[in-house]
Amino acid sequence: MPSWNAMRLMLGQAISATAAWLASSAAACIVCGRAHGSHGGGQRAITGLCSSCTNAIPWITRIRCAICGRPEACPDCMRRDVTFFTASRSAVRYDETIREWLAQYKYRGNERLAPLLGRFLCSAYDRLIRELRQTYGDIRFEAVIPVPVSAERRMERGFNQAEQLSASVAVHAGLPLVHGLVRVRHSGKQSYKSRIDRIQDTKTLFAGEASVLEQFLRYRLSCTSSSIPLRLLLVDDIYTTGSTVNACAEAVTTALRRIEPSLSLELYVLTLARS
Amino acid sequence: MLAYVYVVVEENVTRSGWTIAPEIDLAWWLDDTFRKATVHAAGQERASMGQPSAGRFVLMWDEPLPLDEAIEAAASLVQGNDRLKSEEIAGKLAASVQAKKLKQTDSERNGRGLGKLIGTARGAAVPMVFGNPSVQRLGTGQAVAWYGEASREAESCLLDGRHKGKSIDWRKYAPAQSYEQAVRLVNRACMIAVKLQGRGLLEGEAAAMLGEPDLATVLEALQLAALLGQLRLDRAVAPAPQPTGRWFSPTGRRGKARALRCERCGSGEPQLLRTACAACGRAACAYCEACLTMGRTRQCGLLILGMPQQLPVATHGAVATSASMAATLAPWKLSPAQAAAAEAALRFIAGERPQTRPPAWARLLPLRRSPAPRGTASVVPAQGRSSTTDAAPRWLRLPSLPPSERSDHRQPLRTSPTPPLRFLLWAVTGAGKTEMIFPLIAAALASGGRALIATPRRDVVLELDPRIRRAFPNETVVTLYGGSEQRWESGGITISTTHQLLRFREAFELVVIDEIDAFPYHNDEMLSFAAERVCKQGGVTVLLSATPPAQLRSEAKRGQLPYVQVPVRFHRHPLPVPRLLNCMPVKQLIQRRKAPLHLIRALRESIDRGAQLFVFVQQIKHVDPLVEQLRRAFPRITVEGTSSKDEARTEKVRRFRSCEIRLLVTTTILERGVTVPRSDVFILDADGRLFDDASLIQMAGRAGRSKDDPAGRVYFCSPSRNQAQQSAVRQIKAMNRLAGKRGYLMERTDRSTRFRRQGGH
Repeated sequence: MPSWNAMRLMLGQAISATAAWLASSAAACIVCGRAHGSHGGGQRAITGLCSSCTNAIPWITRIRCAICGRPEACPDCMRRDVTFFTASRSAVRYDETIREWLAQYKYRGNERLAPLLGRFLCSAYDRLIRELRQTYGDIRFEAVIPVPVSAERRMERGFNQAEQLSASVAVHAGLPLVHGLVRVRHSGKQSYKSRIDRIQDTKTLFAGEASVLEQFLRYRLSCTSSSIPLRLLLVDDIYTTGSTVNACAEAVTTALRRIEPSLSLELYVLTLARS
Repeated sequence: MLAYVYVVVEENVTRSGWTIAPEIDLAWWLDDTFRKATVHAAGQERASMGQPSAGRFVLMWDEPLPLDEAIEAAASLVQGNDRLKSEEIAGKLAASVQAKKLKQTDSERNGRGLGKLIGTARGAAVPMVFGNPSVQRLGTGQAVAWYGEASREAESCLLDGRHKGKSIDWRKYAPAQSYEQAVRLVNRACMIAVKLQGRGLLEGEAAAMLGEPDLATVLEALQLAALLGQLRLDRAVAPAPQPTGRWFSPTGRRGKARALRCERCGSGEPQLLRTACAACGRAACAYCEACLTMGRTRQCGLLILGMPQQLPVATHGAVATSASMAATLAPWKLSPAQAAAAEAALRFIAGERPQTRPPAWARLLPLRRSPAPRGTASVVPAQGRSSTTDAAPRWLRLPSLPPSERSDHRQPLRTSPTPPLRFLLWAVTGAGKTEMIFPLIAAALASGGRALIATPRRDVVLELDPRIRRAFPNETVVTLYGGSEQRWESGGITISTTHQLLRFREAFELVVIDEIDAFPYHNDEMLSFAAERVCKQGGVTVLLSATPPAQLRSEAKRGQLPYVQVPVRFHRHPLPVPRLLNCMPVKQLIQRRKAPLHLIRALRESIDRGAQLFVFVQQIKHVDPLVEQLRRAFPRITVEGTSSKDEARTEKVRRFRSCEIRLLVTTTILERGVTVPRSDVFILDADGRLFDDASLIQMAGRAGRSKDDPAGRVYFCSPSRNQAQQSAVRQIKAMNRLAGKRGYLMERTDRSTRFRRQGGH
């Protein structure tokens, strides 16, 4: 005797599997979930996004502040005492759309957005390189360093968004990924704090990871002449006042100088969104 | 999340276990005073204390594993009375853990796959990733650690790589040092267990509900509560249950990774995405995308299941005689049809199950053992259901049952969930479904139970809230929807969107699911999975609908789903039967910028009789042009349009109700849940693909809902009559016929003459 229950189950599974297979052929926008056809696209077309979401991306195209890459005039860069990085560039403005996407990604944990946001960052990287090559000729970066989150946050969220974003850039640019920083303290969420609080708070938040940086420098010695300044790229998701990346840049500089005092160093910053 | 695997070895028993707070488990098994203190403080003295710990010791793998692997490793370990040497046990423990670890390559486990990714992407032979945060966090443990009082035999197994456990301080709560601390911990554990009763929560949700900033501080209390048997800890994503049957052999899938399933929403592999996970250090740890909006379930994540709340032993039997039934229903002032339906539902809940028949194919099978002989009992479980649920729920027992039956035993948490008992309340639009469920809720509450009303839409939740509060002024009512402030509260009556059901587990004696055929509940396996699990063992799920989906209709017809029909509205007038109006498609109508004369005439008639007009269209893009056109045609009334994309929708519906807006052009978004006293309904493109018969019946159901204007008009406007329209008309007429046959309709002379013309058949 055949088992009727088993047959019914199998039939049900076969049907739902077929349905799933059929459904997957119609693409759904990874942000808004609406089905979209293969749109004409044009140059700015982004795979996985529907056309209205593609059009909503607030790309930064014109740069006003040469230091932080802001599209408006920038009081923060003038107020900062010491800037430990040479320049910072961001892919998009931090508007409502990007706020929503980043919230979906970071807080809801929708990791399907990681490759998409990574692609944003890669295009910002391409623009940064183009900009630098226009001025300084043929220069290149030697490593990507993600801004770390605290161990608690990492455990809670299951990932570090800056790490995932920097991995995209590292793959795109063919650069090594160096986990050269640690966050020493678990601070509350940055978004709840005022500007002064943030600056005070972030001063001692990061430290260079000496063993990792040393390992990287040793590797570098084996393939590059040390006369060229070491150009590193720090990656984070949001640039608000610049205090976080500045503190990171300071920590990396300090740690590297401790290993090799004579090292000539240039730090650049790449973030996804500029608020 | 990470967890430890261990084996407790006694004289002649070995047990395996896993833990998220190893200090607690070690103290529990090894420290008699701690165990006595906790069991005493938890008030569980009757519960077996187990053997004193003399000679007992614990072998623990000294590195934490991803939670799901720890559970699997523990499950695959020996349990039982075999007398094994501790060396053998240690060997088995090591083997079972290694077996899990071997499945992953080193780079997957520690390099998180990234090094490989970048390396191969560029064909580079050099290391491309320097440093790795997850490796730093993971222990380097490779050995079985041993805890417990020294015994010679145990000492002998500590040679060769196995060492005496030192890393975990299991004397932290040794009562000799800090008795109070231990008692405080137990109190906390018990309090948490009570708060979590009937819940099924993820780590983060539990932390939020308990008001703790993060879960780390609660883990010890949770683990202790689990050891005391006051809640259950499980993985959030587990291997999918394999279909059993002769045609399937589990060995056929050997070599393939077992398919996983989200334990909270039931979604399978297609909805699971595997990503690198910092919490367990694996490169591929699955998470569920289907229920992502309700928090993320992870393969290494914890699902915390509270125990079902125990009912106080029922002191009174429930209604059974018709006199007492009438007394129960009297305060609710129901119409005869409503009262009859409520009575049927109450009787079902009280255990008077109507005879259910097995499906035809089952009856034809000679080899199948026939169920209990017919006619001997009035209670026959529906075909395909486990017979464990056929007893009447405790909260509504018939007085005829002998008292010995009533003495109760603890109801265990369902291990393999049997679907709860379902009852379909099939009531036409405007029948007063909400009023009919009031007596059911009252009965559930009277016995100390809890009731849930779930509905797919948030708007309806917000509308139900004041009505329920008015009907049950002395009850605590909790209203749940996305962003609700009462998210973590609990009360006698819970009103919730169907999505919120994901956060409950065996919590309610009575579950009422409203509008079962509406989006997003209809055809959503995740939501029906959740709905099945919120009902307690022995509880009842009442399904409400005016247009039950075909599957339920046929189950009802075949006698597999007990149901009651309410064929008439509360005002005892028949449903308005739709008239068919020949009319061009909306698209053409907009292009020509002119509506056909007979449509305009019908609209004008309705306006002139003082009715509010619903005009339904299929597509959002048709709303605005049509509004323009109708404004031109009827300049003296206010015409508005709305759709799911309209942010001012709630406001417009309010103005429509208050007669400020006379004509509202809308999509199916308003097909149900909206009651406007004197209204007529025009459905344009009624032959369109998006309007099925259920949808048409719902839209038609907007008309004639009030006592003062029971004969609203309904028009199906389309160039063709399709099957859906005909079926809708047929179903409406059938309901009217049934109402007449049962004598629910008012005498014809009482009804308006217009009615006879329209509704006659």
